[in-house]
Amino acid sequence: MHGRSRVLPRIVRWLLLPYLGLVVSGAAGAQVLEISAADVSGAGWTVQHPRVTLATSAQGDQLRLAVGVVQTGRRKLWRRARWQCGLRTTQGWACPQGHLVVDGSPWGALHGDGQVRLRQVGGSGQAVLAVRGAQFGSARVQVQSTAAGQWHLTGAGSLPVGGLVRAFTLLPASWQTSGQARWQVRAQGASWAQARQMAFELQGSQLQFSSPDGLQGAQGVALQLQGAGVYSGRWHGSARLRWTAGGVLWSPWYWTAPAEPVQVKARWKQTSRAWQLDEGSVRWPGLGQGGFALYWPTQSGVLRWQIRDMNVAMAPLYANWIKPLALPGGLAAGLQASGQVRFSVAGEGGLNALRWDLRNAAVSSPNRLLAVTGVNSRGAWSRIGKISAATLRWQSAALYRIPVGPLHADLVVNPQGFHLRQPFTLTMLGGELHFRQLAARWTGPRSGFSMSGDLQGASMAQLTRIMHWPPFTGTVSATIPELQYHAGDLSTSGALSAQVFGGTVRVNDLHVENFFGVLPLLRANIEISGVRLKPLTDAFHFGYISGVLHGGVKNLALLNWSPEAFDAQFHTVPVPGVRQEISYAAVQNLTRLGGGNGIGGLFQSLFLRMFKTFAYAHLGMGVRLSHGVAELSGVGVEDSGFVILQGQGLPRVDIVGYNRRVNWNELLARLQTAMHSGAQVQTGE
Amino acid sequence: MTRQDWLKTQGWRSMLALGLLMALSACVTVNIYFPAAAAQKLADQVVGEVYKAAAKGALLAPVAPAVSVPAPPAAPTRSAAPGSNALSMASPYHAASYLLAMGFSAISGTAEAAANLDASSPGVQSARAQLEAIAAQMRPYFVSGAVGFTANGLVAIHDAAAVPLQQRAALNGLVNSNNSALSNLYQQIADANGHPEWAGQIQQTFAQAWINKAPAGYWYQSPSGQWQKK
Repeated sequence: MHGRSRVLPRIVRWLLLPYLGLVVSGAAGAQVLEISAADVSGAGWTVQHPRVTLATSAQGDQLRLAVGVVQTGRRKLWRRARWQCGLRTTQGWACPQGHLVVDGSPWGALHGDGQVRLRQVGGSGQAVLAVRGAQFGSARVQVQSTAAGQWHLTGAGSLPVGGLVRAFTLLPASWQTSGQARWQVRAQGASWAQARQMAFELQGSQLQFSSPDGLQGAQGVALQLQGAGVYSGRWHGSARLRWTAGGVLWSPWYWTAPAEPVQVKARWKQTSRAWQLDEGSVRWPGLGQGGFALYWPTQSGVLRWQIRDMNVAMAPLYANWIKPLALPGGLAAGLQASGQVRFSVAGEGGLNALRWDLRNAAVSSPNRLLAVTGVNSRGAWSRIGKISAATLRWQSAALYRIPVGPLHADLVVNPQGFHLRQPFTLTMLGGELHFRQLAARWTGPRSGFSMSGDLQGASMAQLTRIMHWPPFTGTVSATIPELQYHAGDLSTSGALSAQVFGGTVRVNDLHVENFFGVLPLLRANIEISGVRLKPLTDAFHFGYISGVLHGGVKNLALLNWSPEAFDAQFHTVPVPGVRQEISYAAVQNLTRLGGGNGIGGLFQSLFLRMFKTFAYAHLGMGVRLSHGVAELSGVGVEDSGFVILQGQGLPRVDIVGYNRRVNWNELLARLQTAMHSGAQVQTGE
Repeated sequence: MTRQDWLKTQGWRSMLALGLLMALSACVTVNIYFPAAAAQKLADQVVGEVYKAAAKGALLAPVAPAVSVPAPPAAPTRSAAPGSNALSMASPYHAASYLLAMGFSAISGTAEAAANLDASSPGVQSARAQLEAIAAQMRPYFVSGAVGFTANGLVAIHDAAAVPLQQRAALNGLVNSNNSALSNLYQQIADANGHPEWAGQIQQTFAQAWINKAPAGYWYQSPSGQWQKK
């Protein structure tokens, strides 16, 4: 009997066998009976070229079953499978010692032994199949049926996970997998043709996988999957997954199973095109919990997923999920976070939308370069062109140990980043930092942050104390044209200008590499103009000098905020209405700065002390720092020395230095303490 | 032809050759060649200090190595300086060649003497500090064989499975950061010496130093790409 057989869509396989029994009985006396079909298929499965052969002889009856291909969906599970056994027909049918050979399967070639029993009493039937093989473990399936066609199936067994993963292409074929799984299944149907209910449990232990490069893998994983389903036109039901042990690496992330199991529950539904998970919930002890949904197309299309109202602790979220994305050694890699965040995320391939509500969070770096407390933020972001609102607040912050006051910023979030809805002001150093513009871009070559604004009335005394710089008094006001932070580097596209001591300081070409990293490197060019010397020297307690100072610092390089190289030139310029005078104390200090030991000689000293101030024509100094050595210069040259101060009138005081090259650290020390050298003071008499 | 005529002819030929060489010498461009010896010494020094920082597991304070090694004459000239008996040669051609060679040597020598490597610039120090900071994190991966040095002065994953699963999570990021720091260092040294185009040669010089100074057990790639254990 050859032909093409289309069995009822929901038929179960074992129903073929009683049918065959009737055929055999009716063909008594035949030596060999063979039944074959082109294919037999049901919902989701197909058996190609099945063939049943019954041979009778004086030695006994032999039953042989053979199939070409067994496949579920598009996946071919078995190729060329044969079952052969001696058939006994005394009490029903039984194959007590059967032998199974499968040439191709996800586990490779299979060889196994087992038994099949079929018994029919009245309208009821019972079938038992038990198989065991080295490659595929063991399986025992028992089916009982009633005359009305109701049936009940139970099955249990174990199998190596490697084959299961390959069979359902859960991981790429080149990955190594291992582990054992135990399974149980129960199913029942109201008629011969249809299963109505089913329940299953799969327990995997010592599960391992590894990608060829070793950057994805798992070790010692234990999973338990339980589920149940009902057929009412389509399959649907519930499932629960528990992760109880082991570690999973998916570079750059690594997760270990917490002490209490991670638990995922969902309602599931199978359609002709996809698997759907709805009403899902995730509970991750130590991290948080929330809901999810998932749409997984079985044929073509993109995975769609949603995570809803996840309420998680920031500390483990940042440490295990966000920090691995940060560059090693950068600011983000060293941060610690705390607080709670509730968020929802949606994706279709990539990330599509995000909504967050951050509450009472704090962020800090170990070296206190950055610390923010009392952070609250709410907002939403969408990849598909929607603009949404967000707020960011904090109670206090510190940047490079500089305290910053509370923040309340309203933001406009767009697909590429965010910008300010309206300007805001931060208090810092006793003054105010006004943000005219603040924006961020997530992607592209210009990703990072940018801001522009003004600084008003910042206390230099506070700043110099915090930064451990030489003490400095007064306040500073500055204009920040556009400050950009990108990939760890800080730079300006314009000139920062500050009003200091009645003059202007302009910082051009500012660029800080590795701003939050190891040894930040600052490069800049600085111009000063119109700086009044009297308040400047008062601030430094340098002695009285009046006049107006111009100059600049070219090619300034600060490594870890300490000068490494620069070329500085400062000099006074005559301005109508501004006297150019210098006090005895300032002369003494300038002399020391130039390498001398103050005003030498008893007569000179006593004479000069008689005058409170001295008029001067030119005052200035140049310092060129390179390789730890400062090369000094002045406003003129005299003999082999350089003129720092050129006096005017009587008594006239000139300061001339002769030590042009001096160690930088020594020069710094001269600023605070007098050093012994050979500067020359001329009284001009 | 008498010997006198022969000498006369040879003398004219020599003068002609001398004139030709003089004309050619007027078009000579003096190049500053890559200071291979200075680069090698600098590479050895930097590599040694990075290995030291990695072993200590802590960042070393930055130091400014001002390596000043006169570069060897890396550019061979066809008219190499002859021996001390050169002047004793009778031929005017040889004498002219000698004079020209001396001239070349003088010009070339001056240029090469200036071709030292300066590694004290702030950019180089910053790059070194970043590299040393990463080196401490990279060391366990080198020791275990998870990573090794490539033949071109960078690092690559050799056998990720050599370290436990948890440690592998940061491996790829560290390798990328380490390579960024290395590339930055090579470029900063080249820039600091006013020859950005030297970065490739500096990288190749460092490639050998990383391998030569590597502790036993470290893995490295041969020029053919084969992994070998030191």
